[in-house]
Amino acid sequence: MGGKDEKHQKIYEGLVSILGPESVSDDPAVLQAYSRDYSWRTVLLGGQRPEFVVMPGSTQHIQQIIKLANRYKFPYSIFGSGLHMPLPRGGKRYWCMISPQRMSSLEIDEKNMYAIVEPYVTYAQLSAEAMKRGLIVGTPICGSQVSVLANHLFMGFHSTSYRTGFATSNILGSEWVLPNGEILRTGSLAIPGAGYFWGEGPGPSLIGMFKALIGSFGSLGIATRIAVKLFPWIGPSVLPTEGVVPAKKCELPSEKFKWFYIKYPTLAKAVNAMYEIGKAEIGGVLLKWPTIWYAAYAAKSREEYTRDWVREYWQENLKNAVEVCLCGFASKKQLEYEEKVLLEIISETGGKLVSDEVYQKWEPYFATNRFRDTHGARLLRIGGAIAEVRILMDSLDEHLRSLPPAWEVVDRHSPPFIDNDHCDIIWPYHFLTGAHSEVNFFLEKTPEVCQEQGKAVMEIVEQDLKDGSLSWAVLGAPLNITGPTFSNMHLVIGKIKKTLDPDNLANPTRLIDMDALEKKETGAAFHFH
Amino acid sequence: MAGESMPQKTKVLPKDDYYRKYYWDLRKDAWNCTRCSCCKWIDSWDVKSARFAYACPSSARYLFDAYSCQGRMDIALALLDGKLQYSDSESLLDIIYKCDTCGNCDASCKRVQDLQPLKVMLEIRAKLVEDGHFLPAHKAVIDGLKKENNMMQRPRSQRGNWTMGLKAKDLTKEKAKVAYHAGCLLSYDEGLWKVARVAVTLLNSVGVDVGIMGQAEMCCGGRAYDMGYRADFTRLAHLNEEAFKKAGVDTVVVSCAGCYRAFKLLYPELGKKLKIVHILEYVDFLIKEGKIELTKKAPLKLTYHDPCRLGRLSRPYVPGESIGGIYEPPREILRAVPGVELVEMERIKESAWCCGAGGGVREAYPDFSFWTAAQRIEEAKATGAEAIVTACPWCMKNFADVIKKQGEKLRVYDVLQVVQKGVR
Repeated sequence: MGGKDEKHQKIYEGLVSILGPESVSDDPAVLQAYSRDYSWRTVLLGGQRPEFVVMPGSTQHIQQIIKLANRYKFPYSIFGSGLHMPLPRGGKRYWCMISPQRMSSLEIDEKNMYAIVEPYVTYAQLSAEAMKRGLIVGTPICGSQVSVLANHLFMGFHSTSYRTGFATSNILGSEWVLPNGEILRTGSLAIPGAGYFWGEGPGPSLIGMFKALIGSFGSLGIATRIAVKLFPWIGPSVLPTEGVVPAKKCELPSEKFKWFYIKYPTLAKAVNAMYEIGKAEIGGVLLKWPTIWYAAYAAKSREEYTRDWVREYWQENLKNAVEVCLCGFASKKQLEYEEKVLLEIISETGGKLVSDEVYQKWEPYFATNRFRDTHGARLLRIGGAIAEVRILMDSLDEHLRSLPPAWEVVDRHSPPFIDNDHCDIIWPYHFLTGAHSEVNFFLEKTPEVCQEQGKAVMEIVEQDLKDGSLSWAVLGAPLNITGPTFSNMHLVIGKIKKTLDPDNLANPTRLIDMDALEKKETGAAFHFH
Repeated sequence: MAGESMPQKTKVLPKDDYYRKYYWDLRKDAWNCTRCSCCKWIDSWDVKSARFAYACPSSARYLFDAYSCQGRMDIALALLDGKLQYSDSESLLDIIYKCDTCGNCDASCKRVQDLQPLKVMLEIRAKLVEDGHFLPAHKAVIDGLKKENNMMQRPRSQRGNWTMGLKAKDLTKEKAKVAYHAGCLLSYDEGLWKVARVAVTLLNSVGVDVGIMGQAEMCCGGRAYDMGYRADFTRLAHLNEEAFKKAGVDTVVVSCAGCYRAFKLLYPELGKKLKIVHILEYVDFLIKEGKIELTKKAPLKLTYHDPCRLGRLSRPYVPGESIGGIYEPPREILRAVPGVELVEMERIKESAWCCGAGGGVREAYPDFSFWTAAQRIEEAKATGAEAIVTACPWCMKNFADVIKKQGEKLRVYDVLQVVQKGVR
């Protein structure tokens, strides 16, 4: 960052005139807290402080900040909880980070089963308020301490996605400030007085443009509020916890929730069982988790993780296990019926329920995470970071085909990657109309290891591009590289971006590299912008 | 190969021992902050409403991420790595010191990351002081401490005034097995004398061989430690140890959660081993033994506030073990008083919201301190309780001041005052 020159001063004064001095800072210590996230990319690129941090209190504030940005030509981005931030990158000056802490309003329309949230409402907050009203929102694996709005727009894979879908499909209306400063209201919200009842119309849907698979990292403007669909909740209005962390219990009433952990000899057999469960349309939760995730959640400390991992406790007991929660949404009889169906499927597919010891070690302490996740951050603990080298949305069969080549890449780089037992999460959504898979592992957060991570990512991106896999690679890959695999969506997005944001100010180093695009550098070497 | 489980042939564990067997390393703790934001909120399972989901008063009040634990970890790292200089920032001291050091962030972080962010912050405070950067308000208090051995900026000659007319051995002249250590606030705040006096009276009534230091009592040094003044803390630790030894004391009983933490947790770091008991532990034991009989009806609807330094900050950190503390004894005592109805606030035990008086905040940032207490008062009122009960004079004082300032009807009691109502 350079010094506070005349342009800096003008921008600062402009921001203060919009928000007041207490909501604007250019103090280096304040800015330092906006310079890094958990990721290996930050390790490689080094933290970079923005030049300003602002805390708007309303959509109008954001609109005025964006108009000011257009006037003085400075880049800006917004962050949610801070776990994974659209950080200033590429040494760009005058970067303004929008910190949404003042925008935390939450309204629930109980009758119509939706909530309207501003950016700084967390899943835990929404979940707590919804449960009191017999409703629930899905929960992401990164934990319920993250922003509902950011996660719904970004990826939104929830533990209940098998039944509730992935979160982007549950947005009923959104309010955006476009990079040109205009306010856009999508779905039913676009019709004055119509309210937030439907995401796809009668106003513009724009689902592909703004949300797509990975959101837009604020590169196409800033969402200031969204309405999200809520689902029926049959559990207690307050989660029943017992004990003190880190070994806190939270068990849901067994007459309404029944958990099953079913082991299969191979992943293919596990997937086959998942198909059958989906076909039968039973259950509220259906997941195939990797053993490293079970181990990381269950361990109360890193030492415990290592101990259990070395003795292969979770590998032995939950490798290729399918997790099902049957929920008596309608009645006790429904639960009894679903249990009968499930037991038949288990028998027909050659599954075996895990031992009571394993069940007791997991279910009372961790199962409820599927409805409100509180242990997700443990995935970041083992080496200080988690690497997601391959994330794919496709059919279950495609996951079966494409996981082994990705594991081979990971194996080639292990060590230094930490043992991961061939991570094989398969996460179905919408009653198995598709699924999401991830190949990830824990790594030590050192520049050397992160460099290796960058190489592995590139190998997988190349592999996917060659295969034509519907992979969206990694979050750091700009659309210039992955776009051609997505029906050249980089060209469409590039044109929209150029029209709305001709000076490339809205988070200019993410989503799409406009400079490379204009030079027609599609498919160029991967870089960390 | 499709769908087959290929066993991974390698067995790679992290190279750095830190990830396999956690040990304390200042920079590694700061570096390994993942910015997961768990430090800002209580355990998600325990969130009962959007309103009372916040864990960190500083983050909830000042909002910029720099005022959250994860932001402070970034700042700590930048200071350690030389990426941020003291001279760079006008806000640095404010950011570091607008924190009650209540440890709610710390409990959350230990739960998911095995890190000790509070320890990082306390180390950074000590470094700031050592490097000559401190708050004027703290300096005045510490100057008083150096001169008068108390945190109240009052003459040491007045320290024993609270004992007037009280029957107890004078430990400067006699020996006793048990010392009752009142602490600075209980000794000097006339409105709180009753709390210390009830404690000594109760101990006497059940035949405990108890003595007091009176005028010779000294500050435990805990608040100086939290402000970053390590040398002053160490001096007082030596003096207290010596005084207790000289009086033949084998157990020290305290009513102040701050003193409890200092004696129990911080003194051992200097190799000092005192047997420390909080008065609540003693009373709980005496009730269970039948030595205190609670037979008088006290029809009160109460809510209990867990003091940070009696709860989550009172035990050494052992990764994987519960964030222990004295959570159940006060609740059991209150339930044992006939007529008392105990109702819980939303944030309790290891997730309890701070009273706002700790970490030097009351001394340097009274507005923030009172704002924090006012939040807790709101939470207490939401339970329908007619009084908030606690077991630390600093919490009592902060609550009482805010209640008075705001004209609230809520009353504030120490647990022992409720016990006293139940004793015939």
